[in-house]
Amino acid sequence: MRERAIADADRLLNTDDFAQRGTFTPVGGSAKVINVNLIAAWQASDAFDSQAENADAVAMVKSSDVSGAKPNSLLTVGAVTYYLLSPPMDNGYGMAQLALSRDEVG
Amino acid sequence: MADSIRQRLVEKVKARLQTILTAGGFRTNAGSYVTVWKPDSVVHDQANLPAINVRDVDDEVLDANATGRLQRSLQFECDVVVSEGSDPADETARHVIADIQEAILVDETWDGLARLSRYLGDSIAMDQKDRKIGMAQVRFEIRYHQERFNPDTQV
Repeated sequence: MRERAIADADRLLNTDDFAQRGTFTPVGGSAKVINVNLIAAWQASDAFDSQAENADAVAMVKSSDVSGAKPNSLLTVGAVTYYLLSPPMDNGYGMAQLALSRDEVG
Repeated sequence: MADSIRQRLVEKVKARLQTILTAGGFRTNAGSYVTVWKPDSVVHDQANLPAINVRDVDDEVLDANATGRLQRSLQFECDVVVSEGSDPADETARHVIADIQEAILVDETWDGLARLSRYLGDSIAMDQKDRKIGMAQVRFEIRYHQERFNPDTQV
Protein backbone atom coordinates (compact mmCIF):
# COMPACT_ATOMS: atom_id res chain seq x y z
CA MET A 1 0.00 0.00 0.00
CA ARG A 2 2.72 2.45 1.03
CA GLU A 3 4.85 1.60 -2.04
CA ARG A 4 1.80 2.17 -4.25
CA ALA A 5 1.12 5.53 -2.58
CA ILE A 6 4.71 6.62 -3.10
CA ALA A 7 4.49 5.63 -6.77
CA ASP A 8 1.30 7.70 -7.05
CA ALA A 9 3.14 10.63 -5.43
CA ASP A 10 5.79 10.38 -8.12
CA ARG A 11 3.12 10.50 -10.81
CA LEU A 12 1.39 13.50 -9.19
CA LEU A 13 4.70 15.32 -8.96
CA ASN A 14 5.69 14.57 -12.56
CA THR A 15 6.95 17.81 -14.07
CA ASP A 16 5.37 16.88 -17.42
CA ASP A 17 1.95 17.17 -15.79
CA PHE A 18 1.21 19.19 -12.65
CA ALA A 19 4.52 19.78 -10.94
CA GLN A 20 7.41 22.18 -11.36
CA ARG A 21 11.03 22.00 -10.38
CA GLY A 22 11.92 23.93 -7.27
CA THR A 23 14.94 24.41 -5.06
CA PHE A 24 14.49 23.49 -1.42
CA THR A 25 16.99 24.71 1.17
CA PRO A 26 16.41 23.53 4.73
CA VAL A 27 17.53 25.75 7.59
CA GLY A 28 21.20 24.96 8.13
CA GLY A 29 21.28 22.56 5.17
CA SER A 30 22.22 22.61 1.53
CA ALA A 31 19.98 23.28 -1.46
CA LYS A 32 18.49 20.47 -3.51
CA VAL A 33 16.19 20.39 -6.51
CA ILE A 34 12.80 18.77 -5.86
CA ASN A 35 9.46 18.48 -7.65
CA VAL A 36 6.64 20.61 -6.25
CA ASN A 37 2.98 21.17 -7.02
CA LEU A 38 2.39 24.78 -5.98
CA ILE A 39 -1.06 26.29 -5.44
CA ALA A 40 -1.69 29.85 -4.29
CA ALA A 41 -5.40 30.29 -3.71
CA TRP A 42 -6.84 33.73 -2.96
CA GLN A 43 -7.78 34.22 0.65
CA ALA A 44 -8.19 37.38 2.68
CA SER A 45 -6.52 38.22 5.96
CA ASP A 46 -8.98 39.76 8.36
CA ALA A 47 -8.97 41.24 11.82
CA PHE A 48 -11.02 43.86 13.63
CA ASP A 49 -13.20 45.26 10.84
CA SER A 50 -10.77 45.06 7.92
CA GLN A 51 -9.91 42.54 5.27
CA ALA A 52 -6.80 42.57 3.08
CA GLU A 53 -6.17 40.43 0.04
CA ASN A 54 -3.78 37.56 0.59
CA ALA A 55 -3.36 33.95 -0.56
CA ASP A 56 -2.94 30.54 0.96
CA ALA A 57 0.31 29.45 -0.69
CA VAL A 58 0.63 25.69 -0.43
CA ALA A 59 3.01 23.21 -2.08
CA MET A 60 2.66 19.43 -2.30
CA VAL A 61 5.97 17.61 -2.26
CA LYS A 62 7.36 14.17 -1.51
CA SER A 63 7.73 13.78 2.25
CA SER A 64 11.21 12.34 1.85
CA ASP A 65 12.37 15.55 0.11
CA VAL A 66 11.49 17.75 3.08
CA SER A 67 11.56 15.50 6.14
CA GLY A 68 12.59 17.32 9.30
CA ALA A 69 12.39 20.75 7.66
CA LYS A 70 11.96 23.67 10.01
CA PRO A 71 10.12 26.99 9.58
CA ASN A 72 12.03 29.50 7.44
CA SER A 73 13.46 26.77 5.22
CA LEU A 74 13.42 28.14 1.67
CA LEU A 75 11.58 26.93 -1.41
CA THR A 76 12.28 28.74 -4.66
CA VAL A 77 9.87 28.09 -7.52
CA GLY A 78 10.41 30.12 -10.67
CA ALA A 79 11.60 33.54 -9.55
CA VAL A 80 9.77 33.46 -6.20
CA THR A 81 11.36 32.39 -2.93
CA TYR A 82 9.02 31.22 -0.20
CA TYR A 83 9.67 30.66 3.49
CA LEU A 84 8.28 27.56 5.12
CA LEU A 85 5.69 28.73 7.67
CA SER A 86 5.51 25.55 9.73
CA PRO A 87 6.93 21.99 9.69
CA PRO A 88 5.82 19.88 6.69
CA MET A 89 2.35 18.35 7.13
CA ASP A 90 2.94 14.70 6.22
CA ASN A 91 -0.17 12.82 5.00
CA GLY A 92 1.37 9.46 5.94
CA TYR A 93 1.39 8.21 2.34
CA GLY A 94 4.56 9.74 1.02
CA MET A 95 3.28 13.27 0.40
CA ALA A 96 3.64 16.40 2.50
CA GLN A 97 1.96 19.77 2.33
CA LEU A 98 4.06 22.90 2.83
CA ALA A 99 2.48 26.14 4.03
CA LEU A 100 4.48 28.96 2.46
CA SER A 101 4.97 32.70 2.73
CA ARG A 102 6.99 35.21 0.75
CA ASP A 103 7.78 36.92 4.07
CA GLU A 104 10.12 35.47 6.67
CA VAL A 105 8.55 33.90 9.74
CA GLY A 106 9.15 35.66 13.04
CA MET B 1 -28.12 73.56 5.77
CA ALA B 2 -24.81 73.40 7.55
CA ASP B 3 -23.03 70.13 8.27
CA SER B 4 -23.42 68.78 11.79
CA ILE B 5 -20.52 69.07 14.20
CA ARG B 6 -20.15 65.30 13.97
CA GLN B 7 -19.82 65.45 10.17
CA ARG B 8 -17.29 68.28 10.39
CA LEU B 9 -15.26 66.37 13.00
CA VAL B 10 -15.15 63.26 10.82
CA GLU B 11 -13.92 65.32 7.87
CA LYS B 12 -11.24 66.92 10.07
CA VAL B 13 -10.10 63.55 11.40
CA LYS B 14 -9.78 62.18 7.87
CA ALA B 15 -7.86 65.25 6.72
CA ARG B 16 -5.55 65.08 9.75
CA LEU B 17 -4.78 61.40 9.26
CA GLN B 18 -3.99 62.12 5.62
CA THR B 19 -1.06 64.23 6.85
CA ILE B 20 0.67 61.08 8.21
CA LEU B 21 3.50 61.00 5.70
CA THR B 22 7.23 60.58 6.19
CA ALA B 23 7.66 63.85 4.29
CA GLY B 24 5.79 65.53 7.16
CA GLY B 25 7.99 64.04 9.85
CA PHE B 26 5.93 60.97 10.63
CA ARG B 27 7.28 57.40 10.78
CA THR B 28 5.05 56.01 8.03
CA ASN B 29 3.07 56.95 4.93
CA ALA B 30 -0.18 55.60 6.39
CA GLY B 31 -1.88 58.86 5.39
CA SER B 32 -1.56 58.09 1.70
CA TYR B 33 -4.67 55.89 1.79
CA VAL B 34 -7.31 56.98 4.29
CA THR B 35 -10.94 55.99 3.92
CA VAL B 36 -14.06 56.66 5.99
CA TRP B 37 -16.40 53.76 6.65
CA LYS B 38 -14.93 51.40 4.09
CA PRO B 39 -17.42 48.51 4.34
CA ASP B 40 -16.22 45.31 6.02
CA SER B 41 -16.95 43.43 2.82
CA VAL B 42 -14.56 45.60 0.78
CA VAL B 43 -11.11 44.04 0.76
CA HIS B 44 -7.93 46.11 0.92
CA ASP B 45 -5.65 45.81 -2.08
CA GLN B 46 -2.09 44.93 -1.01
CA ALA B 47 -0.81 47.63 -3.36
CA ASN B 48 -2.59 50.29 -1.28
CA LEU B 49 -1.04 49.43 2.06
CA PRO B 50 -0.55 50.88 4.58
CA ALA B 51 -4.15 52.03 4.88
CA ILE B 52 -6.35 53.56 7.55
CA ASN B 53 -10.13 53.24 7.68
CA VAL B 54 -11.87 55.71 9.97
CA ARG B 55 -15.19 54.88 11.62
CA ASP B 56 -17.16 57.19 13.93
CA VAL B 57 -18.89 54.34 15.69
CA ASP B 58 -20.74 56.08 18.54
CA ASP B 59 -21.69 59.60 19.60
CA GLU B 60 -22.80 59.39 23.20
CA VAL B 61 -24.41 62.08 25.29
CA LEU B 62 -22.38 62.40 28.48
CA ASP B 63 -24.53 65.08 30.02
CA ALA B 64 -27.66 67.00 29.04
CA ASN B 65 -27.91 69.96 31.37
CA ALA B 66 -30.67 72.42 31.98
CA THR B 67 -29.13 75.16 29.87
CA GLY B 68 -29.71 73.11 26.73
CA ARG B 69 -26.08 72.15 26.25
CA LEU B 70 -25.21 68.54 25.44
CA GLN B 71 -21.78 67.21 26.30
CA ARG B 72 -20.99 64.61 23.69
CA SER B 73 -18.36 61.96 23.17
CA LEU B 74 -17.77 61.06 19.52
CA GLN B 75 -15.93 57.76 19.48
CA PHE B 76 -13.65 56.71 16.67
CA GLU B 77 -12.15 53.40 15.66
CA CYS B 78 -9.35 53.59 13.11
CA ASP B 79 -8.57 50.26 11.47
CA VAL B 80 -4.99 50.06 10.21
CA VAL B 81 -3.68 47.54 7.69
CA VAL B 82 0.03 47.20 6.89
CA SER B 83 2.18 44.76 4.96
CA GLU B 84 5.70 43.49 5.49
CA GLY B 85 8.28 45.74 3.86
CA SER B 86 11.72 46.92 4.81
CA ASP B 87 10.37 46.86 8.38
CA PRO B 88 8.49 43.87 9.81
CA ALA B 89 4.70 44.26 9.62
CA ASP B 90 4.28 44.29 13.41
CA GLU B 91 6.84 47.09 13.72
CA THR B 92 5.09 49.12 11.02
CA ALA B 93 1.76 48.60 12.80
CA ARG B 94 3.26 50.06 15.99
CA HIS B 95 4.68 52.97 13.99
CA VAL B 96 1.24 53.77 12.55
CA ILE B 97 -0.32 53.60 16.02
CA ALA B 98 2.27 56.10 17.25
CA ASP B 99 1.73 58.32 14.19
CA ILE B 100 -2.02 58.47 14.78
CA GLN B 101 -1.51 59.55 18.40
CA GLU B 102 0.87 62.29 17.32
CA ALA B 103 -1.47 63.41 14.55
CA ILE B 104 -4.28 63.82 17.09
CA LEU B 105 -2.00 65.84 19.35
CA VAL B 106 -1.32 68.37 16.57
CA ASP B 107 -4.63 69.98 17.57
CA GLU B 108 -6.86 67.97 19.85
CA THR B 109 -9.65 70.57 19.58
CA TRP B 110 -9.92 70.07 15.81
CA ASP B 111 -9.85 73.78 14.93
CA GLY B 112 -11.90 74.68 17.97
CA LEU B 113 -14.84 72.37 17.22
CA ALA B 114 -14.13 70.21 20.28
CA ARG B 115 -13.03 70.65 23.86
CA LEU B 116 -10.48 67.85 23.86
CA SER B 117 -9.56 64.42 22.52
CA ARG B 118 -8.94 61.38 24.64
CA TYR B 119 -7.00 58.30 23.64
CA LEU B 120 -8.82 55.07 24.49
CA GLY B 121 -6.31 52.42 23.42
CA ASP B 122 -5.15 50.25 20.57
CA SER B 123 -4.82 46.60 19.53
CA ILE B 124 -2.70 44.64 17.05
CA ALA B 125 -3.28 41.37 15.18
CA MET B 126 -1.02 39.62 12.68
CA ASP B 127 -1.81 37.13 9.94
CA GLN B 128 0.67 35.34 7.71
CA LYS B 129 -0.22 33.48 4.56
CA ASP B 130 1.42 34.24 1.21
CA ARG B 131 2.18 37.66 2.73
CA LYS B 132 2.47 38.81 6.31
CA ILE B 133 -0.29 41.32 7.06
CA GLY B 134 -0.46 43.44 10.19
CA MET B 135 -3.71 44.90 11.41
CA ALA B 136 -4.31 47.34 14.21
CA GLN B 137 -7.15 49.27 15.68
CA VAL B 138 -6.76 52.67 17.34
CA ARG B 139 -9.59 53.99 19.49
CA PHE B 140 -10.11 57.57 20.63
CA GLU B 141 -12.90 59.96 21.45
CA ILE B 142 -13.53 63.61 20.77
CA ARG B 143 -15.53 65.50 23.37
CA TYR B 144 -17.57 68.45 22.19
CA HIS B 145 -20.54 70.56 23.18
CA GLN B 146 -23.68 70.83 21.12
CA GLU B 147 -26.88 72.79 21.48
CA ARG B 148 -29.86 70.62 22.38
CA PHE B 149 -31.51 69.23 19.20
CA ASN B 150 -29.29 71.46 17.10
CA PRO B 151 -26.46 69.23 15.86
CA ASP B 152 -24.67 71.89 13.83
CA THR B 153 -24.37 74.46 16.63
CA GLN B 154 -21.68 74.58 19.29
CA VAL B 155 -22.43 76.05 22.69
